[in-house]
Amino acid sequence: MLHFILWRTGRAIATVLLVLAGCFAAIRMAGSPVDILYPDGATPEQIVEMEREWGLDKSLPAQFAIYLGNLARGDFGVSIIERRPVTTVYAERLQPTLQLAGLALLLGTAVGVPLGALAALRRGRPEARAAMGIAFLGYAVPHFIIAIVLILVFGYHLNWLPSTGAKTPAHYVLPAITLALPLIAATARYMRSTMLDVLNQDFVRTARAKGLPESRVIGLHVMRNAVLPLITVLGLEVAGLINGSLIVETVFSWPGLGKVLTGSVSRRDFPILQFGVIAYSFAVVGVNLVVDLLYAVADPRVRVTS
Amino acid sequence: MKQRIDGARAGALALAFALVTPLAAQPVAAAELRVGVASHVRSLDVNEATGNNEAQMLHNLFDTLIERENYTAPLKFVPGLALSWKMVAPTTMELKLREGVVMHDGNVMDAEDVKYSLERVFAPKDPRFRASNGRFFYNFKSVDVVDKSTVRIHTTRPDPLMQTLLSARNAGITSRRYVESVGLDKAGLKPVGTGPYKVESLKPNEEAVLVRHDKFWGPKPPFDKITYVRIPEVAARITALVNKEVDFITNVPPDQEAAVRRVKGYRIVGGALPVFHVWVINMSHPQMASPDLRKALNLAIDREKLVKALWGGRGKAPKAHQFVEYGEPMFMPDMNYYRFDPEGAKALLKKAGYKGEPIEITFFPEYYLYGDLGAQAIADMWKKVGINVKLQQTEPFFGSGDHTKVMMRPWSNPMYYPDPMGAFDTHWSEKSWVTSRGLWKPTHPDWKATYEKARFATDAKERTGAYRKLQELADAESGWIVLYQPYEGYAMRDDIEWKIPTAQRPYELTFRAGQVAMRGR
Repeated sequence: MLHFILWRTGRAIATVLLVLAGCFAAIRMAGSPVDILYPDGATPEQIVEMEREWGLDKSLPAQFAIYLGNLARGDFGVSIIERRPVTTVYAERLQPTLQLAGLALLLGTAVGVPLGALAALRRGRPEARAAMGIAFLGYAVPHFIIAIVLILVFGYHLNWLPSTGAKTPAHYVLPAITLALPLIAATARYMRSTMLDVLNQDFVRTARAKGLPESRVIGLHVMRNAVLPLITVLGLEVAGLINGSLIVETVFSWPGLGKVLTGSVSRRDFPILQFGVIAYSFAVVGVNLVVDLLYAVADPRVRVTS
Repeated sequence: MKQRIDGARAGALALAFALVTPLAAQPVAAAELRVGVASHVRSLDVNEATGNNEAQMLHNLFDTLIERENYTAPLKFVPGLALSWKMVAPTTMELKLREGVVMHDGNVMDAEDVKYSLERVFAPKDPRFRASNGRFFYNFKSVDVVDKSTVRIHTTRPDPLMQTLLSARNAGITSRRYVESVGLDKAGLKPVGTGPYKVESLKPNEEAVLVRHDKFWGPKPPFDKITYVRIPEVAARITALVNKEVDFITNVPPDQEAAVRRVKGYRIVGGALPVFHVWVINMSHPQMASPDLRKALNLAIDREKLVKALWGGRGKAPKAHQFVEYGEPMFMPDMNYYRFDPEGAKALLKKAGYKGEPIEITFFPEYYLYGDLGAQAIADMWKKVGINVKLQQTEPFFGSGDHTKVMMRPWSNPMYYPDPMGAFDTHWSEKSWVTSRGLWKPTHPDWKATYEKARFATDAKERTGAYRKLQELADAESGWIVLYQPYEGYAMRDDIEWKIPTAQRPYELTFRAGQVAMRGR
């Protein structure tokens, strides 16, 4: 088990470093932050001065080596645009993003799992078809369309719910639903298909044959086995939640990490963007790592194989 | 049974309604003005921040020594932090300061604060003040403190624009003791000025909260509090307005105005801003070397049609590089250089020996609103006169970008102050980056001398004449293509009385006493 954990952790760190190197090079090729700070055009002296100040006059490998050295000392740098430590900028925005993603995850599983189970158990009936129809719709429509429709209906036309900011609990409703809808859809679809698989397994037939009540067959044998692959899917969906939140946070003016990250791309704020990439890669890789480990805990066969 | 179901349904609906309706946004007390802005600020250092975003707030926070009447053209100057001023030498202005002005940090403003604030931009030691210096203050030299309430401001050369430039918001006065004690970065996040509002909090690129400065020297401002919140999406911005989450929003494009107009209780204030969207022709590119070709490109654009199609007729098709905000005589209504003349364009193309070589338009898809649509429309217009056009979409780049292969690129020319030089000097002077990069290189032998006169002649008539000649020379060079003046729409509660100030740079939101009012208050 220790070997398994070490191997997976090492691979996760290598992945993050690879992503960081790619991002480091790519954003520097996209243009200079000087253009954003001086959109009317900087003088040649200003350009030289600023590039020296931010170490942009050095070669790309030299810049990367310096950056890695700073990272090793726990120094993530200072925002070029905001002139504040990168960690301070992110710390201010972490809580709203986690709250929103957590709420969406809760909604997604609380609604998606029963919906998928219902669709599997009532297969072929109208209610199952309706459930899956809704799921397909939720899966197919992108976040920004859902967001705009919700804003128009509940904000613009009905004036029931606020559409910008994160000041009161009411502000959470529309962005959380926007983020949760595709998750509900994905969870329901996977839950349905894995349940249908499990329902056809021999051990389910055996459980029924030995006279267990249907509720116990479903609760004890079917659901437990069907939920296993769902852990993987939910892990991937957490990454999707983070990605989705970039758009949702922009549309709803949510004061979270997504807004910082998208803003740093358009403003070419390299230190902010690099930290964002590290953090997001760690989130995605970390979630996958946790999923792998959970899998090993939940299914003894994984441990044996590894 | 049916009745029971209906009853249950009604109960559920009532419960849902009860749960949801208290959550809906409630209007706040009228003493607060909540503004939804499309883009926000990273810092509010008055001497540094020259961008459009900061212009939305700085007017309300900082005073200048000399102020302008908000709607008068040509400019009319009124006392600000200086009660009086006079030229004591051709390059020296003496100003008597207002006494007892309490700053936002509680200190009383004196001549040392004036010297500290202005010398940051007159002779910048920190590179962050260079943009401000280059745009406004490059001819200013120093500030002498005569006594606690008297200063003398020196310029390098006699400057006909001295009052105009000293009344630009970037000549605002901040507290020396405060900035020196907390440092530039922190002072930018919680700036200290002397204006009617002070910053309570600033979350960069997200929210700024301004509260009334109770010890303001002038008339009491109309609001206790102003909140600027960033709402980048236009649909979300309009919804926030009609949902009573904010009272005032910026940047409502013409095609979205109907969404505001159809809701009772709101109105739109808009107009063509004193900004030009421009294409700079790279005169150093061998293919763009012919002035006849460049002139032909200019003549082949139907600007009226562009304004109608892109801006719903609400922008403005200019006839020369000038804005009505200058006021006469500097604004010259008879000037008409930007004609649509496709036959003339064809003749000039022939004269230039144009043989259908591809001409590439570089454009930034979203940086300038409708820039992509404009590029496509102009490409069609040019094709009609026989020009082989190619469109090249890129990320925005400016002075630091590689321009060697660029034939023409988009830009904007805002009016930083209501004078011909307010739109001309930053963009087309010798110090401009388009000049240093060789994109703009005027060839006429009279250009330099004429420019000097248009900028520095102290005789008003001589300066007006030089500016008229400068326009003629610029037209002969045809080194740039002025497209249109974009439209800016502001939507607000219909009990708010506000109009776009014409004596200030574009995008300023003016919320001082006498500049905005809420009816019934």
